[in-house]
Amino acid sequence: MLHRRRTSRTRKGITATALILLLIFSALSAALLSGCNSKRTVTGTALGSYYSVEYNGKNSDKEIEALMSVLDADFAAEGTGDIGKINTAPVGEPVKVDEYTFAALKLAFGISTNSSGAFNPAAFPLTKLWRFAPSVYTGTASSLPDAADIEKAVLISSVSCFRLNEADFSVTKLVEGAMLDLGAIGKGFAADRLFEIIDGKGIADAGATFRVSEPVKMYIQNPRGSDYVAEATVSNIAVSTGGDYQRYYFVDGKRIHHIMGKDGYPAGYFSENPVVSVTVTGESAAICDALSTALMVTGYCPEAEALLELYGCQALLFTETGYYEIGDSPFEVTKGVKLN
Amino acid sequence: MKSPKELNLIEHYRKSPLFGIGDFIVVLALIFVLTLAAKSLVRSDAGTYAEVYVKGELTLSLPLDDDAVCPIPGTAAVLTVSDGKIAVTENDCPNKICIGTGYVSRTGAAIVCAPSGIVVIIRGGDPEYVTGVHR
Repeated sequence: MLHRRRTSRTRKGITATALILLLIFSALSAALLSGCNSKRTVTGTALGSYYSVEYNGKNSDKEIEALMSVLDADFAAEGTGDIGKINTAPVGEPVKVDEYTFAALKLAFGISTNSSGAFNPAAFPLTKLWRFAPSVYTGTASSLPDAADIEKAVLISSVSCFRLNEADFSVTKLVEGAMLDLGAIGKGFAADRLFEIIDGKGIADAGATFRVSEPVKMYIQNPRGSDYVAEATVSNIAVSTGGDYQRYYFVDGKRIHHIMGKDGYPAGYFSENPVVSVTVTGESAAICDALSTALMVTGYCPEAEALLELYGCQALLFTETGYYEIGDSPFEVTKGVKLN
Repeated sequence: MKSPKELNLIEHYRKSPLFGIGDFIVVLALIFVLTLAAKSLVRSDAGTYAEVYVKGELTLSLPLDDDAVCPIPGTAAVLTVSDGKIAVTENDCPNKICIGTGYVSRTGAAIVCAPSGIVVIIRGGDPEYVTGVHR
């Protein structure tokens, strides 16, 4: 009797445990199933391009939209936000900026110094002269700027024409006509901030400058076609690409593009086989963004290798005839594209 | 009359629990398999389509299977879908960068018109991303 009671109690216990386990398992299965549905995507326009953020978890759409609207206003070289104010401010008058603008400028000035000006966030006088400022860019032109004007613009296109004061987050212009432009680091900086908002889990895409956590298939745009020149499956990485094919016009059959070299001419202007596209991979999207522009200016050389090593980044550089790899880039170049 | 063998069998089933550990494992496996099947169905169900945003608002969602010419509401832009690809083929923006982008078809590819606040992104299929498409 006693024995039978004990068995039935044990049996009840087993059934109850089984039921509980079943419930837990069903709940887990349901979560797995709904996992692909709870993925959120926010898309919009900012910084002269689009942004798209894919993430799971708590709804951060509003925070993402607010961030991008602040950066869009503050990073515009021509406008009423922080950089616009600095560019129109008189010499010697400190302009107070918000913490994002200051952080981006501090990082940009550092990379500019470390790359001996190859990455130059103060090149806006040249950008304007070559008709790439957003307010004047049309994608067409019939003549080049005057050589004397280029020389003058080079003199005022340097980060040494500005003073950053960390104590009160202010920026002071030191030379008349000097102007800043965060166009070559802004999208990367935005991707890094977006990635922070989504707790480092998901995909932050700011105008095709990426920060990703989970493994995704990624391609590099063919700079001279509509297909791709390289591909990779990447995770926990930042990826940025700069090239001469994104903003350009032709004068007498010669391509004039928006990345300014140290001599005041578009990067690679006097080169026989100029670099036309650079993809940099690393940990920070802002750094990858800035370095992709820097390498468009330096081309493939020992200085480029040293710069990438300094920031722990890798790069793939394409010319019209082939490619160079610096460091161990995760991208596999498509068959048919030859090594230079 | 039942044979002793049958009686033994009846006794065996009477004593064994109604829902044993073996049944339990089978049910768990079934749930697991069904969940995976449902998940893969949900995925493979989605062909590629274009999401069209105007100033951050999802305005249109166009499948790329059917050829179409479609104006984007609230803008002067016109989209053309042809052979599973999509392009902005008309717009009143100053630089026409959106039209210059041409036809896109791969998941993750995008067409942007900053002045009109238009973003066209290809979704669905296996997620893929392209670096260096726009500045």
